[in-house]
Amino acid sequence: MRRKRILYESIRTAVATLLLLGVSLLTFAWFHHARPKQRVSAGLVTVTPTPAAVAQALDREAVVTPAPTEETPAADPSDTPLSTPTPTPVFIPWVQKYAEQFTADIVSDEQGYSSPDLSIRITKSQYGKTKSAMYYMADIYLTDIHQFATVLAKDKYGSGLRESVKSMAQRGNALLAITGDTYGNQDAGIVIRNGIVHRQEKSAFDVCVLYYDGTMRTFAPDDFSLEQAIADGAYQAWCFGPMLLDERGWPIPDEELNTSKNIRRANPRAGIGYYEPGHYCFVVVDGRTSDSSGMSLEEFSSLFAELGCKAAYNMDGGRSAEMYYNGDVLNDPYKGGRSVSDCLIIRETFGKEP
Amino acid sequence: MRLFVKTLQAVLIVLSLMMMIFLVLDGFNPTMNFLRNSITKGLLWAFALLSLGNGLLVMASVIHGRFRTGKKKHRSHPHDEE
Repeated sequence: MRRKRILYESIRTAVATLLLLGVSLLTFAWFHHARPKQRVSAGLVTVTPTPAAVAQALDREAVVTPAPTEETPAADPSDTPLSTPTPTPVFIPWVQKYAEQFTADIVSDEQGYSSPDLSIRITKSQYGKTKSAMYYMADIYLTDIHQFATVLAKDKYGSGLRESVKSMAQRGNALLAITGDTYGNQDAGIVIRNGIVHRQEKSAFDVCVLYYDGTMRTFAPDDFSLEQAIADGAYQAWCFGPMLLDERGWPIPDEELNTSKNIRRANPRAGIGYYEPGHYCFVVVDGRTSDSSGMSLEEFSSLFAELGCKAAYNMDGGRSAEMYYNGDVLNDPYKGGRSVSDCLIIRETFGKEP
Repeated sequence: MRLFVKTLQAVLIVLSLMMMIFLVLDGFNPTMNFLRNSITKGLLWAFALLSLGNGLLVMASVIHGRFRTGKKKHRSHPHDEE
């Protein structure tokens, strides 16, 4: 009888403790990340650089193009200087540089979209030693950096604000979209969206910056300076990562990737790659399904290197990894996907700054 | 007093389980920032202070128990001194 009472008392206490634990965890989750809360944005506006600064920035990235030569009358050979003239960095408008990617009329189908000022080519492939990872790659050519934008959930900067990629993409008139960095789950980490600095506090994560001149660079947390980024004309900055390629464009070994071991394992992925100003790619990998196992971060890094990118950055993956194209979600998100804080979009601007 | 001690112990068990869960979750998804946010810091402070309180209570009850046991011994064998 006494034993029974002790057993009954123990079970009662255990159940009460577990209930208390459940309530405590739910309360924590509500206040930590589920409660929708608009936050105060830092509200700093980054400066759009002048065309001269753009040319200078292109020079910094070693994309120096000789000035187009005009037909000039034949000069007297005696006047020719001995030293060869240095090529002047010249900014070639993307519409000319990537002219062969664009079409005179709008052409849109399952494989992609092209117009006089935007080109998106979508491919579906398999990757990995056993070809077990299914991924979608969108090859993107722009004529204006404003065609590359971000949309925040509920159009507000805050925490606990969530929306599906599809819904955000449709609100932003996007042709293409992928999951962003889910900034709303973190208290710190640089957030610059469409030229506005919302959050200035650094975190332990790598930073990716897209500049108004079209260049994209990734930084280790200690190497990043917000002041410098603003001075260089930062247009977007994400804080999730890790960066997937080093400064030479080579893949980063597994143990050097700035994230935890569990994150590095095979998972669904979303990422962004940079070739040169105006030319980018979005990649989304399906995972945790019988058709696709997902990719480890090391494989994801190798994929971007094989695609020929100079820089690449990992965005929010797992169940969040989604690619939207022309009205529908392209990939097969794990458990149907989930709502997130933000997404990256590609849209038509028709020559006007939105 | 008994109810207070019982509640204190239950709260400590819940807090310790929460901390362990946060540690495991942080290993899986560090970007969710389960450990370095203000709420967890507050909970950690509460955990530390309540553990201190619980430790002092246990210590006090042990000391008190020793004295009581000593008295009991003393009372149960009164003829020993005679």
